[in-house]
Amino acid sequence: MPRWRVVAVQIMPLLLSLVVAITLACVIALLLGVSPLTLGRIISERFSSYTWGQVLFQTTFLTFTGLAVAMAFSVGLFNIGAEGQAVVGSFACALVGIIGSPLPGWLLLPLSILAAFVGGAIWGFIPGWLRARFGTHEVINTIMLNFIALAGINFLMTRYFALPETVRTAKVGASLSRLSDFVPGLHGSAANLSLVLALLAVVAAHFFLHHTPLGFSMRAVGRGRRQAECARISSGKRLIIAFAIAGGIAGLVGTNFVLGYKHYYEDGFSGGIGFLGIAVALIARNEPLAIFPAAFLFGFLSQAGLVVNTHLPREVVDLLTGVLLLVFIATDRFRLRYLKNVRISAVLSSFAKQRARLSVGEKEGSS
Amino acid sequence: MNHGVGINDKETQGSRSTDLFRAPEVRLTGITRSFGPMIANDSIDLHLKPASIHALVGENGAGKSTLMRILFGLLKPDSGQIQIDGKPVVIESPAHALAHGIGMIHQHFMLVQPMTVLENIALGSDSHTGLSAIPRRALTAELRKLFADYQFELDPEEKVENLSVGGQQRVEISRLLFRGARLLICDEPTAVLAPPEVDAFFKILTRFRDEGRTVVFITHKLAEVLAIADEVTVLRHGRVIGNADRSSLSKGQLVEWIMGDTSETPADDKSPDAESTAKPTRQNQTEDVILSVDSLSAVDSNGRLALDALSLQLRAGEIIGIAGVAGNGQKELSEVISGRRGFKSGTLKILDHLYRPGDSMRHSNRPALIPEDRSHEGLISDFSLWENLLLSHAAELQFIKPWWFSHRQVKQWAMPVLKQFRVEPPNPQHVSGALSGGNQQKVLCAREMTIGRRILIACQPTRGIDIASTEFLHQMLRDYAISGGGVILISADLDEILSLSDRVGTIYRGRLGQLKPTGELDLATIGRSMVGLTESDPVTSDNGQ
Repeated sequence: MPRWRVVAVQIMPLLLSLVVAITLACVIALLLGVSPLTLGRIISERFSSYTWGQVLFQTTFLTFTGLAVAMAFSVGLFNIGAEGQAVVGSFACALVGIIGSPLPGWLLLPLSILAAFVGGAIWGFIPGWLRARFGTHEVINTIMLNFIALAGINFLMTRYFALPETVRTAKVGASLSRLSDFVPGLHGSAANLSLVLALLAVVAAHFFLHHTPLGFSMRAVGRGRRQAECARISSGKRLIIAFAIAGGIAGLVGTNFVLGYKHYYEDGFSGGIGFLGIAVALIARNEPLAIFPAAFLFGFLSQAGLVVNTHLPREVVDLLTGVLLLVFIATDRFRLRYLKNVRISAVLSSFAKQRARLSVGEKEGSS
Repeated sequence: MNHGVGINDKETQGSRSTDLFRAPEVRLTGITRSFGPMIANDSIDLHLKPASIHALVGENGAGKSTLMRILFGLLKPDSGQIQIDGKPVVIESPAHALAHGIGMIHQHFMLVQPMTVLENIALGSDSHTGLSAIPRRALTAELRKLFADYQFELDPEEKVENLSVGGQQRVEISRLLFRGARLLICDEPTAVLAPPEVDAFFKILTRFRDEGRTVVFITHKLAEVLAIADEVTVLRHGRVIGNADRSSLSKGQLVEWIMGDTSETPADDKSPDAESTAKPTRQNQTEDVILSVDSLSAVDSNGRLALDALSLQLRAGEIIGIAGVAGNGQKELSEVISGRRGFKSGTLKILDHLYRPGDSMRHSNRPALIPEDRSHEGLISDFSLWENLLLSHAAELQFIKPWWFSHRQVKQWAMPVLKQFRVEPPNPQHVSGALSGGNQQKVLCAREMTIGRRILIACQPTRGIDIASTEFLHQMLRDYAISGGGVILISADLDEILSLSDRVGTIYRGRLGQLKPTGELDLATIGRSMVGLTESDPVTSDNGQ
């Protein structure tokens, strides 16, 4: 089986769902009396380098939350709680940033980043532990913890931390530079150095899952818990670790918003990025390296929605995201079936090669 | 289509006219079916005569199950024709097959465990679908008559989960009879049965034939073919290799068809006496006790007592065989010894570590384990072979650092391991789910037998795999003991137990009988104790529980 065909099959569901979604967008546009061509022109004209910067800003959020979902899925669990974990992480990040204001920046910055990670990790640890210890379902756990996080922090904000007449905290004492400091064209956009942090997280997650014994055993637990346990790999500890790491990564959302953008925590900033992270992880098939492009795609879509807002209602983008996912999930089954056949034929063809070798009479051969 | 009930009415009135149950004459011609690039059935012809027991034999992956699934309407052939009583038919679905009187008993029973026998039989039958209530009273009476007639010793009100495997199998059979099946396909029906149960099962099959029904009997075991079949068809690599009447077929011919050559006599074919004398005596068997279980009791997942004051001592260089009908505590025994299940009382000593109830087992101390369910407990089917091997080895391999390992190095390490265990093809990149059962089992054994543990628990190590792989793995198990390891062999295959073990004990309802040297045992004695009879008890045909 030629390799390019396997690659083609891998990306086919995505292409197909994009085609369906875009077609649907055109139909909706026509129904609303807008020419699709006009929309295309608007997008290409109004996508300035500032807009691309905003796409990157959005991508950073979604990379963190998508990675958080994928990390939990490595042990076979669904993390619906990236939203809550992101909020807790961001709040922790802001708190440390405020309290530590007297500290020098070079010390406070890593401390704040660490706080974001630890805050999210604690919020991720809880559902992992509940699952491992009591067997309560992680989907329920994480959804409930989302409510608790949002309501709890909202309470803390209004009672203790929000500045009068606002829903935001005081300024933090540390910050990450904007990307526009390095690339002047991005001027005005909120994209900042936490994008680099997101890319590092992606690479680290990849190596952790595929090249460390712990990550490998976590994947084993995800693909076959009973098999792993029979091979003396205990699953409970790994479920907890995976969820804690997932929460930590979601918490890093705080670096993008608090440290890189506003420099304070603001109630309600998350606006569903945790849930969109599920979509990102789905499209990326939970592979860390694919998370970034998938996050970029959704970042682009949401920015495109803003750009065409004058002609199309914003909801259309949400609608298209939904359609895109549904088509993707439906068609992905065919990909899996195809790949299974490819794998079987790989075994068969190496059999055939072996037989051929034997009949030729060669002694030893390495395949 | 209410034929099932009607037939049973007449049946229980005692009319034994063969025409009543006379199976259709079924002819399969040129059946071809492929899965992707793999051809599972290659232009197969098969003629199933009425009132006969037709054995379908072949190694794993020979295409037996595929062919029968086509006949039962579960799969569609790519080409070829099915004729029933001379008329070509297309079998669209199992329901359609049943309408033609064709029924199938799968290897894994399709029963709803928490439901009663009656509910399972009523489930999905044509007469009781929809919203109407099950006519319990009438059905119970019918079933009682059916069970009495065939001496099934089943209670319609019993829950299926409380039945023995043999009992569950009889529920499956009853369900088919009830729906009017006259051609019964049995996919490896004896794999899970104890010897007395096999005898009882064979009596049922003979009875069916005498009634005019056809039985298609898929099996690996030559002894069974020779014992019961009227006609034998052998498949290999998706093709019919041979077909003959039992009367005109010699054992040697059959072996040749199955194996491709007769240079080696398969294990299944030897008599147990020959086995035990032929077995090389191991010199290095010592008094060095590496595993000691002392009056250990444990409960199963439902809290019922599964192991009852069980004791055994395993010495280095020894293979202890645990015989028994599935569900008598074997699973729990393997789980307790391998540290996956706690125990209530007693002690467990592994090498120098003594465990009491509540202790958790140290990772480095946990014995190697070949779990019985290869696909759900053994290998991860969408992991590659090297990943599957690595599952047990991550802690031992030098080149695996906590912060990094290279895939290339693991593959380099995996290749010779696969070759040593004759995995075909020995390519670490392949996904284990794409391999045949025999090869998967070899990968699993390779993984567990190379970790360097002194104790190996082998559960059903060769169940459902081909003869050549079985022979090979038996040799590997012997070698394991010769090199100083101790093996607890848990198997439902008595030939396997007798040919490998130094000492054998039978487990029945969580109690382990006294371990005896293999030479002092014979099949009949073990068979009796497997179903709870002492040596003085007469052998009855079966006991339902």
